[in-house]
Amino acid sequence: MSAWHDIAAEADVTVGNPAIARIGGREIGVMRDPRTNDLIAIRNRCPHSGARLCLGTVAQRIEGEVGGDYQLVDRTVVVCPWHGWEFDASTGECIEDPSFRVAAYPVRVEDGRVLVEA
Amino acid sequence: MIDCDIHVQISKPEEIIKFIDPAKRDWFRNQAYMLGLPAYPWNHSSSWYRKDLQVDENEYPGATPQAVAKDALDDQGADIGILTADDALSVGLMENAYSAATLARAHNDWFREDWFPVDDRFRGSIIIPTQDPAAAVAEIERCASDRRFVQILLPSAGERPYGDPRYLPILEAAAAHGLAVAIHSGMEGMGLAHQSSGAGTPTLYIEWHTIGSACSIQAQLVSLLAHGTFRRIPDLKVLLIEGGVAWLPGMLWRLDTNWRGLRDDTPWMDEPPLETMKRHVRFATQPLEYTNGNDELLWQMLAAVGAPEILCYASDYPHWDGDEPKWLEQRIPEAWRQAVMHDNAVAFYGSRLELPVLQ
Repeated sequence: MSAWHDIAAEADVTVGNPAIARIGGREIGVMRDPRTNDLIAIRNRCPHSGARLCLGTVAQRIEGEVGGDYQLVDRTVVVCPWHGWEFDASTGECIEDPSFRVAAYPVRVEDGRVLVEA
Repeated sequence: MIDCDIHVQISKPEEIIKFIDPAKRDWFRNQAYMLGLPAYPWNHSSSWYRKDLQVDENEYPGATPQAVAKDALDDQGADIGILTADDALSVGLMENAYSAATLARAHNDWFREDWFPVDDRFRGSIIIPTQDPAAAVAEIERCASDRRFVQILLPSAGERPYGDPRYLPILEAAAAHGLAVAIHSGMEGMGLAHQSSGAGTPTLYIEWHTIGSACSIQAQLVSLLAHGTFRRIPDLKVLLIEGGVAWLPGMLWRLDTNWRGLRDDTPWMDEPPLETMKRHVRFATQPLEYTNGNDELLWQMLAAVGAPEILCYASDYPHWDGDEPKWLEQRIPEAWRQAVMHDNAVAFYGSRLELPVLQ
């Protein structure tokens, strides 16, 4: 049964400074997207080899059609700090290998507090 | 059976020189028997050739269409034999790009005039002055209308790996004409080419034959996949010749691992490189590595990266390290034989192969 949990003061969650809380035995982190200023809530464990995912970066996805083509697209990813695997910030899916997925959680702000449903 | 790698030897330079413009003939004559092609840093200690084929010291094995038809087609049971250059594989590495264009043109005319008419089982490879991409494209365009040419032939050693954008016009021209691109191992450290391993110049032939034959082929495979060349040229077909295959699973798994973590450097790689390879790249079987009794393990590993569909038989006639077809047939799994010895090459080369009607 999921519930909303108070994680941190919104003002304390800035780019590069995630808020991390332990909920039901799992570490969940809230990160700030530098492009949209949105909050992202994601489990703090990379499903690849166990890195603390929220110590990675939130970035705008780059895609390309052919060699030498780099285009920023409207998609936010969490990049693992260890091996650079990219996870969709909304779904938690590893884009290059969907058999790997990290749990992503609903997040909202209420009265200046960050709430995560987990 | 289809043999994808039969090396034609130039025994008598005048056979090539006669196709060269008279004004340029003396330049080539003055380069002695190698015709200005770069010299080999390493040589086999006794002979490049199967000893049972050596005719005499004045004529190499595989130097006449009649000898090749007998040795490599009749005696081996080949339905089709794809002729590849031998020393002239390095034409695209000559320092002089103008001479390279001239020699490539003559070699292609030699195939067309002196070889193809002798036996309708012969197919051929177009060699090109790779160091001058515009001239290389022109040579492809000149030869492509002769459908007995089934591929262009490039050495695995080079100035830059073939995924580099400078080579796109060459690869695009080949694909546009339905020609495969065969990349044959060798020529490391020769002419314009870099050394093979990056560890420094090998001392011994065995070092080159082990490393040179594999490392540069691996580099070409990784380059073409990393640059997204197959995405840019969806009809591009590549055959990698004589680089071995036992390393293939390890290399592809390594590339697949790196791709996941480094994709922001190559965002055009939109699927695991292993999957791209399976659609576009084939591997000539020779020299199939000895496994010290672990053949079953080798088949399992190759199956994990697309075998048997990715494998095409090649003899490497008339070289000392060739794989005889009956030996290979007996060695590979029975369920693979028809595909590896015949069907995969038919599918790979497509309509250019046009198998002759058996009488």
